[in-house]
Amino acid sequence: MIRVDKIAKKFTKFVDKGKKVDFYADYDISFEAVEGEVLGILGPNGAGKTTLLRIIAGIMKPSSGKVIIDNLEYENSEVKIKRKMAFLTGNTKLYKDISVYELLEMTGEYYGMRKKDIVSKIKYLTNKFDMESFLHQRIVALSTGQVQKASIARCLIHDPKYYILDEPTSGLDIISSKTILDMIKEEKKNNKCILYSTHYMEEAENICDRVILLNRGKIIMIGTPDEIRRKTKTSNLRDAFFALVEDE
Amino acid sequence: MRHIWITIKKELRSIIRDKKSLLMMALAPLFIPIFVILMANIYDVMMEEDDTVYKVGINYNLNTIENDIISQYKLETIRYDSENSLEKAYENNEIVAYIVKKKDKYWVYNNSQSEDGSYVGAYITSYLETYNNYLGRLYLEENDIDSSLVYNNISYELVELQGESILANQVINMAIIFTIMGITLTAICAATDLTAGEKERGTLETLLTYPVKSSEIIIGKYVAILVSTVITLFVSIILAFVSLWYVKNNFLMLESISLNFNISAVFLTFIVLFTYALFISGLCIAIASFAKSFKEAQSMLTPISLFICVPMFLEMLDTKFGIYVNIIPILNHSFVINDIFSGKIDIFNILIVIISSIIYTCLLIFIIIKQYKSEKILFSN
Repeated sequence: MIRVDKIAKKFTKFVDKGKKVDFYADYDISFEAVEGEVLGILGPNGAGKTTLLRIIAGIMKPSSGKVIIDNLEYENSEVKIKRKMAFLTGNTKLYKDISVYELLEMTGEYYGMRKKDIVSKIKYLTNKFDMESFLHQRIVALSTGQVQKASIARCLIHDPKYYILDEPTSGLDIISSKTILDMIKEEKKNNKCILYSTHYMEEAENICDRVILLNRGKIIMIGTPDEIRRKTKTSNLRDAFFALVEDE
Repeated sequence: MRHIWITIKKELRSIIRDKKSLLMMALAPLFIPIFVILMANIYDVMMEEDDTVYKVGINYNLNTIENDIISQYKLETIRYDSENSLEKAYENNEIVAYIVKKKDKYWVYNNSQSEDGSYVGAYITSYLETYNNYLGRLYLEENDIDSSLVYNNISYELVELQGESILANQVINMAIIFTIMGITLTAICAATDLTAGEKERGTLETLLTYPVKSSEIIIGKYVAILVSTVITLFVSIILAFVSLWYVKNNFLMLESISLNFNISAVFLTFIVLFTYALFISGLCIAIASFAKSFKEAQSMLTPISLFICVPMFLEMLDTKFGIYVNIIPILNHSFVINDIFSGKIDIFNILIVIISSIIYTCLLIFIIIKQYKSEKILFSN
C-alpha cells in the first residue's frame, strides 16, 4: 500500500529584480492507494501532479510530510522501495545509443534480477509487445510507437508492485495510447497498484477506480468517478472539476 | 558495487558509441607528433648555419689587411664616392649598413633594431676591433715591444657542454602539454556528456527512479570518465615518447641533450599522468554537474582547457618556482614530467604531486557525491 501523509513541497522562484517568492507546488496532500487499484490524479497544468508523483517515486524530497510504501520510508529504505516501483512519464527519454535489448538488460540488472530471469523476461516482453523486429536496433532509429513499447517494456521488466505513470499518453497517437491503457488494465488485473496522472478526464473516467482532483497544489476532491459526479451534481469529471474550481 | 559496475558499463557504452567522444579521445593525442616534429623542425632551421652575406657600403678604400679581416665576417663591402651616395644606397636597400671614414674615425650607420642590422652591427664592430688590435700590435712591434705581453695575458677556448637547452625543453614541454591537453579534453567531453548531457537528454530522471543510490551513479560516471582519459593517456604517452625519440635522432637541436627514455621514466610518467587523469576527471564531473545544459557545461569547463597551456608559457619564459608549485594541480604535473623526461628524477617531488593529486581527487569526489543528491542540481533546468 502507498500512503501519502500530509505531503507539502515548497519551491522558490525568482521574480522581477531578483526577488525571491516561495510557493507550494503541493500542500497538505494525503491519500492511500492499495493493490489492484488504479488511482487517477487529475488536474490542469501547474496543479502539482508531476511534483507529487516525483515525490512518491523518490526522486524529489517533500518539504514536509512523508510517503510510506509497504511500511517503508525513503529516509532509510530508498533502494528497497524503488525496487517495487516503475516510473513512466510522457516525457520519459530513453538512452538513444543502446538497443532495446540492452535497455531492458540494463534495467533488469539495476533491479537486481538474475541474468537468466532477465533473458526470459525480455523474451516474454518481446512477444507481448511484438518487438522482435526492432529488439536489437538502437533506440535512436526507432519510431515513436516503437520507443513507447520499449518504454513500457522497461517498466514491466522487473515485475513491479507499484506503477507511477505521469501523463504517459500525453502526445501519443491512439494506437500508442491504447498500448499503455491496455497495460494498465492488465496490471490492475494482476493486483498491481497504479498511480495515473492525466489531462484527459474521459480517459481517467474509464480506467480509474478512484480519482484525486488537484488544483493549485491542493486536493479539491477524492473519490470514485461516480461519487465525484454525484457530489458535484455533474455528468462527467470535466464538469465536476470546473464546478469544484468555481466553488473555491 | 554492482550498481556502480552497471553504471560504468552503461556510460562506457555511451562514450564508445558517441562519435564526438571517440574523436576527442583519438584526435587530441594525434597533435603530439605533429606539433613536436613541427616545433623541432622550426628550431632546427633557426640553429642551422646562416650563409647570408651582408652588403655594407663604405666611402674609403680597404687595404689588404682590412680585406683579410672583413673576409672573416659575413660582410661584402661596396665602395661609394660620397656620404650622399651611401645614404641613397641605404634608402634603396642596396646595402644593409654603411661606414663613413673621416680621417681616422669610422662612423657606422646601421639600424640595430632590424633583424639584419643586429647581425651587421656585430660584424662591423668585430671587424673594426680586430683591425684596431692589428694596428696596436703593429705599433708595438715597430717600437720593439713584445705584443704578446700586452695582448696574450690570458687565453681561453669555448667548449660546448651537454645538458639543458631552452629550445629542447620547449619541445619536450610541447609533448607534455599535448598529452595533458588530450587527457583534459577527453575528460571535459565525457564529463559534459555524462552529466549535463544526460540531464538535457532527459534520461537522468529515469535513471534516478532505479533502485540505485546517487553516490553509485556519480561514482560510476566518474570511473567511466577516468577510463576514457586513461585510454587517451596510453595513446598520448606512446605518441609523446615516439615523437621525442624521433626528433632526438633526426634534429640537430635535440642531438646533444639528454632525454630519458628508460622503463622507469615511462613508468613514472604514466603514474604522474594517471594521478592527473584522476584529478581532472573529478574536477570536470564536479563542474559539469552544476550545469543546467550541455552548452552551459562546455562554457564552464572552457577555462580549464585554457589553464593547461599556462605551464607551456611559463616554460617558454624559463620561470623558476619554489617547492610550493608541486601542490598546484596541472602546473605540478607538467613540471614534474618535464623533469622525468629530462632525466632529473626527484622522488620527493613526484610523491608530493601524486599525494596532493589523490587528496584533491578524494575531495572532489566527496563534493560531487554531496551535490548530486541536491534537487537543485538534478532538476535545475
